[in-house]
Amino acid sequence: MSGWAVEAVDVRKRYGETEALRGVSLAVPPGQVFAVLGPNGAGKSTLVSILTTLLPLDAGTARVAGYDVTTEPKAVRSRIGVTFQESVVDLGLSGREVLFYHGRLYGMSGEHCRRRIEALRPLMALDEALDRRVKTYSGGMKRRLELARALLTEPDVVFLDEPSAGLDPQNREALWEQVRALGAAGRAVLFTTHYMEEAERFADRVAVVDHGEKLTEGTPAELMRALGGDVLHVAGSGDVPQLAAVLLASGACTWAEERAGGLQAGVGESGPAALGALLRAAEATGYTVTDISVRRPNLNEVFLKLTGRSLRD
Amino acid sequence: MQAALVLWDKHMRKFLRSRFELVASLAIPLLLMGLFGVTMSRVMIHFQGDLNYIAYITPGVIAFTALTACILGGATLLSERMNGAIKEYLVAPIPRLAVLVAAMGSGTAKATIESCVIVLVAMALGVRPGGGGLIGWLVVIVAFLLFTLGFAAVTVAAAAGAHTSEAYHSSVTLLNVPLLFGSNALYPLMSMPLWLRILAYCNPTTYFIDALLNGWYGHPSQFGVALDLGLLLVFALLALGLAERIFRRSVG
Repeated sequence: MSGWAVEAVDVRKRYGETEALRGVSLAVPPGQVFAVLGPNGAGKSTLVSILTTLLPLDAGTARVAGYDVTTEPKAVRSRIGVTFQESVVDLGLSGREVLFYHGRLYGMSGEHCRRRIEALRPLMALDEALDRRVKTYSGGMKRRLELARALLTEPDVVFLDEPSAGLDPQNREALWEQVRALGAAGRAVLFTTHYMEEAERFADRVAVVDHGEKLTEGTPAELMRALGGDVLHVAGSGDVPQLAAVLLASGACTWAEERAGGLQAGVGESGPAALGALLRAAEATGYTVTDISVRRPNLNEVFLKLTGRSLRD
Repeated sequence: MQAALVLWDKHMRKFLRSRFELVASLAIPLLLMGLFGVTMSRVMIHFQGDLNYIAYITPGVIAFTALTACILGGATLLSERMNGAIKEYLVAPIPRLAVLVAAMGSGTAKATIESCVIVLVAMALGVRPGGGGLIGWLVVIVAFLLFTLGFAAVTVAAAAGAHTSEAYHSSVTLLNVPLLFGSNALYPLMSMPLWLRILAYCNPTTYFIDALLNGWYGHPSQFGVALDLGLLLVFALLALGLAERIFRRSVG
C-alpha cells in the first residue's frame, strides 16, 4: 500500500438541517495510530461511518487504503477492519463461531479462518470461553472478541469507534496495549474517543473536532506546546489580578490570569525558575500562598482553550 | 451468493439452537389444529364431501405457520438493524442484497421445517394427503414456496422499513388474523358474505389454500391450479420487488 492509509479532503455531511461535518480533512499514514477527539455529537461517528462506507458523503473526497469510498466501496471494505461504538456480536453464537462466520463472509476458507483464530487467541485472551456462547461474556470479553473480529481479515486500516466505551480501567489498559501493537505492526489505526487521556497517551497524532469541524491537529506534544508549555497553578488568598500583573511584568511568564479562584500562569519550559519570581511577586503584593504546583498542560486544557468549554460538558 | 449462504447458515444455526423459537412458533398452529380443529370436525361431520374438517384446515394451518415463521425471519433482520449488527455486514465486501436474500431464505427455511412438523401432526390426527398423486405434491411444494417466499419478502420489507420494533410487530401480526379469516382457510368461500368473499379473492392465501386442497386431496380446484400458481407467482414477485426497494433505501 502506497501513500496514505486514510485521506479525507473537505468531507461534508448534513442530516436535514444539521451539518454533521462541515469540511473535515485529515491524513493518516500506514503505521500510525490516529485519534479523533471530541465531545459526543461532534461528528466523530459520522466521519467513521463515511470512511467505512456506511454513509455516503455529501461533498469532498475520502480515500481509504488507496481507494475512493464513493466509487470503490468494495475495495475499501475488503481492506478495513471496524469495531463499532455499540457492542454488536451475536449472543447466541460462541466466540469461535462469531469469528468463523465473519471470516467466511469475507471469503476466507474454513482452514484460513481456523488459522487466523489460532493466531488471535493470545490477543483475545478468552481461553476456553472462546467456545462458550457470547451471551455469557463480560463487556471486556465482548470488546476483545470484537477487536479480534476486526483484525481477523488482516486489514490494512483499522477503525475503532469509541473502543473503550463501557470498559473498566483494567480492560481499557489491555485494549490500548493491543491498539499500540497494531500501529507498531504497520497498520493504520483511526480511533475516536471523548477521553483526553486516551488520545494523549495512545495516539501518535490527534485531531480535535467539535461541531463537525476540525479545530486543530498535531502530535499530543505539539498540541500541548501550542498552549505555551508548563502552567503554574497558585492557590492562596490576596489580590490575584495584582499578583498576575506583577508576575507578568517580571517577565517570568508569558500569560497570567485568575482561574478557579487562584492564579494560573504560562511559564514555558522554565517552570522551576518561575517559582522564585512568583514568591517575590507574592511578597510584593501581600498575597499569601498556600499551594503551588507546576503542571504540564493536558489535552483537556487544549480543548478548553480551543472551544471555551470543558470536554465533559 | 456465497455471502448470502454464510449468513443463511448463521441464521439457521441460531434457529436450530434456540428451541424456544421453534416451540413458540409451532404452539399456536398446533393448538389451532389440535383444539379448534378436532372439536370442529365433530360438529361438521360431513364437511365438504368426504373431506373432514381437520384435513380441510390443514393447508390453512400451514399458511398460518409459514406466516409466523416469516414474521420471525423479519424480526431477525429487524433486530440486526436495531442493535447495529447489520453494520458488520454493511462494512463487509459483500453485496447489500445478500443480507436481504439471507433473511428471506432463513424465513423460508424455518417455515419449511415447521410446516413439515404440522404435516406430520396432521397425519397423526388421521389426515391422509396424497389424493392428488405425485403431481399433487409438486403443486403443493411450488405453491408453498411461492406463498412463503412472498410473505418472507413482505415481512422483510416491513422489517427494513419499520423505525421501531413495536411498529414492526404490530403491523405484521395484524397480517396474520385477517389473512387467515379473510380466506378459505377455515371455511369455504361460498359460506362468506359477499364483501368478505371479495376481500378473500384479493388474498393470496385463498389461492394457496385452493392449490393445496387440490394437490393434497384431489379436491376440485375452484380457480384452477394454473391460475392459483400464477397468481402466487405474481404475488411473490411483487413482494420481492417491494422488499428489494425498501431494503435498498434503508441501507443507503
